[in-house]
Amino acid sequence: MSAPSDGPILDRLIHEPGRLALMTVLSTVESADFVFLQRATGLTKGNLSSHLTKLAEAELVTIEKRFVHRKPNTNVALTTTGRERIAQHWEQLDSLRNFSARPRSE
Amino acid sequence: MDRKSLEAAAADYSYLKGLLSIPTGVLFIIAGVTNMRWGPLDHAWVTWAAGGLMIVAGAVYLWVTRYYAENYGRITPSSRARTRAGTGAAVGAALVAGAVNLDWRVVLPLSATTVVFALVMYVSYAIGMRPRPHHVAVWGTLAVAGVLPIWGDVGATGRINVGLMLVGVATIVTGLLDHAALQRAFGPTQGPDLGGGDVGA
Repeated sequence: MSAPSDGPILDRLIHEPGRLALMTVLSTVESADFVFLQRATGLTKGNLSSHLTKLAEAELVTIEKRFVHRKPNTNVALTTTGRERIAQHWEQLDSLRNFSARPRSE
Repeated sequence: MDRKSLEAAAADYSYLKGLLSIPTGVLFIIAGVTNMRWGPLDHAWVTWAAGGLMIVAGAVYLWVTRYYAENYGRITPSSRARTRAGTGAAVGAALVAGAVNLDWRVVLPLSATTVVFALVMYVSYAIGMRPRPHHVAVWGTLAVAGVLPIWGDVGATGRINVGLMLVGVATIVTGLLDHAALQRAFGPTQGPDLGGGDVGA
């Protein structure tokens, strides 16, 4: 999937706080399930579900529905593209912060 | 929530599943008590009872693992984190085994088992996550206990087995405090729109 065209600097799909939190948590693990993502981000079930659907539609995450001990379990992992996009997004945020921290005379 | 907290969430979760430390600590205490063979405990039935308690501790460990998975979720750590944890556990186990061996073979004025276990535990927390104040307090206290001037006269058995009992107590105390820290970070077991459920996406 190509980079989004709706902003020259920040990726708006990822920049939304809920999705940014989700992708940041997912970037540190191989995969995590719905319950852990809800705990780690503090999102409600409805919001989390909606964000995951959007990220899956953009092919930034893969969602696997399975049964564990006969209970439904939703496992989520970043795709290679998702991993690249979140790393790139944090780099852009860091460079923006560095840019804004420069003295005005420069 | 800031970036660092989000990036640390998975590591914190892995380390703060403190209730798992309770059966582990109980196993250390059982090992120490059984090996000591103090007066009323110097009977064959004690060994059988210890074996039974170990089975119960194993069952409790599995039950607690499931409790965390169902209430706080499941993660698969990155391969790098898995390698680091595995290597750390192997090195830590080797160091503790070496300390037990040292206590057994050399008359020292300290309990090497206790001191090395405390240091290994603190370093493992420090490598894996940002250690909390209670880690410094508990493992620091255990390390200090290991160098108190009381170990010279208790013999090798005392240095190792009393050391194991202290290790067990410290493990349980840390576990309870870790679980409290987990609840502060990730919320109570049950709550509005929290815990146990998985509506999927």
